[in-house]
Amino acid sequence: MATRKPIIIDGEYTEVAKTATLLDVVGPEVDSVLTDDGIIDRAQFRNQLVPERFDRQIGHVNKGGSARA
Amino acid sequence: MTQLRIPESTFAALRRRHLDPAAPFERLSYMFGKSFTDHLGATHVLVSSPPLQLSDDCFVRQAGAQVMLYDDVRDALWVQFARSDDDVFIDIHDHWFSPGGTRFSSVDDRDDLARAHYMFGPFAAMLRNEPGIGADRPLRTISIVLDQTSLDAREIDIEGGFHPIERIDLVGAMPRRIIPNSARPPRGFDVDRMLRQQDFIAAERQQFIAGTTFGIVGCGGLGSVIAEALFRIGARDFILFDEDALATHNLNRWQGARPGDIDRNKARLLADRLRRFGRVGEVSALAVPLSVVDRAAQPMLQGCDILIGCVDNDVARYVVNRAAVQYLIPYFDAGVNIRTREGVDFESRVFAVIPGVSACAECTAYDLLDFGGIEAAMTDPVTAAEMVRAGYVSDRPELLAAASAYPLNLRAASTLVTELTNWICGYRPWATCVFENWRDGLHQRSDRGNHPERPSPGCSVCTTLFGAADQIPLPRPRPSAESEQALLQAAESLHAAM
Repeated sequence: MATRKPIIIDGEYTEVAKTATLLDVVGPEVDSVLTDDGIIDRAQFRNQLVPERFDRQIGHVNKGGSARA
Repeated sequence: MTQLRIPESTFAALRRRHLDPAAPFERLSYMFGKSFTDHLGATHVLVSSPPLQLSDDCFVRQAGAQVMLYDDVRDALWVQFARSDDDVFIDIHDHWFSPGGTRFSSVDDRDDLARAHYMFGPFAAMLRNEPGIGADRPLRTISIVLDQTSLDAREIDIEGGFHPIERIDLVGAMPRRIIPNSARPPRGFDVDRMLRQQDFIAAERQQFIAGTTFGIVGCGGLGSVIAEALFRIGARDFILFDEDALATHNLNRWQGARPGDIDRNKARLLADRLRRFGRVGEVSALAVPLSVVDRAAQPMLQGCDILIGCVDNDVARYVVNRAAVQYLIPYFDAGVNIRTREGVDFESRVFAVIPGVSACAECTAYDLLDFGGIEAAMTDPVTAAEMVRAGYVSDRPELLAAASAYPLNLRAASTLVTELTNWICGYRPWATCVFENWRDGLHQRSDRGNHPERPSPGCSVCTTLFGAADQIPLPRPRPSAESEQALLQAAESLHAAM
């Protein structure tokens, strides 16, 4: 299993540790980054991303088997 | 009786510090907690902040079985407690030399009485007379003594009486329950009935399940199945929340329901059913015929040890998620969905919140909750009316009948109870989110191995509200019966005035 993963920041290709979070790869002066998924602010930099290929849009699976929506 | 809920990491730090084999002498530590009472009048104490672990230069004397603080250190501790928003002062020391089964000594009795005398006397008077130092509030004090394998714990009342702490629940990657040495032995379980699961649920874990109060929030098609599954694995104590009555169209999936049950409240129906599963007096099932968002349901909600969400709306999930984090109650939630357009599909998902350890339903990277709908339900009528006018909320199908199916509910219930059992027993990294899609054969499982998602530092629920207990009211939606009317009246009066 690869221990590095490729990322592109401002068009520049680099490889970082597979466990790296945004906090590990951007400088302390960066307050937010813009990604394909939208803006991520600094408070979220250490958040763990959903594993690749996992569907994160699952809010519609919200019924309890009852007739009321 | 009093129970404690403490993050496992906090307790582990205490044990490391007090039972360090390289430093065999007695130490003191302190924790501040928040108390609240449940529907039975039992007192719960939450500890949500790290323990105050004193460095060795804080002590005048520190010998094998004797320790004494400098007066100014002791004064600083009380000032810190006075300024906090906590009401329970917890003193921790150790009998590091004891291999197990330790009890409080006569010296401990003297020290605890002296502390209680000071707290209920001069300290309480200071709070009454000097509000600038700290808020005047009812106070409690608890003492804990650790040894190499166990502990003893007690509360000291204003009269100087000692009362054993019933149990200490540690909330963490695997739940633990510590029964103090002076407490009553925990409830046992029927070994014969659990014979076929003893190879994968150890006796100590089985006892944990038997002694845990499971809150089933929503007693519909999912809740009725999950409650029975929990009973089958050994749960005996339930609090059941649902304000709805059983309808004819529920009979396609409500586990065990018969036509004669129509119009009965679902929580009461499920409580009766669970009681019949056990021997006389074996099952405790309290029916709460209220929505979990109802203020009157809150004492029961906060008295649960584990919350199981089986609801059909995100407003209830939003409230249960908040309750879980504020009261340090692990929360497992199931949801289902049937797609009927472009080919039938069945989807289910399970989500788990372990307060302080995993992300909550608000800060997870998964898109779980419909925040637009929640905001609309929570805002005051005037703001809500303006949101509708401004186009922020449009045509929410609140009364649309959702497709439902028993096999899908079984599948979701099975996943939830399997993952809950895994969290309790620790077979493999525990899951925070499991999503299944029948048509594509998709099964995705976020667990602590592939996705160790922590509470977000930017999440107000997981930071500010963590362990806040009663100090911050839980969110309440507008009363549903009044909401429509109030919305219209507010909009009319607003625009008449323009």
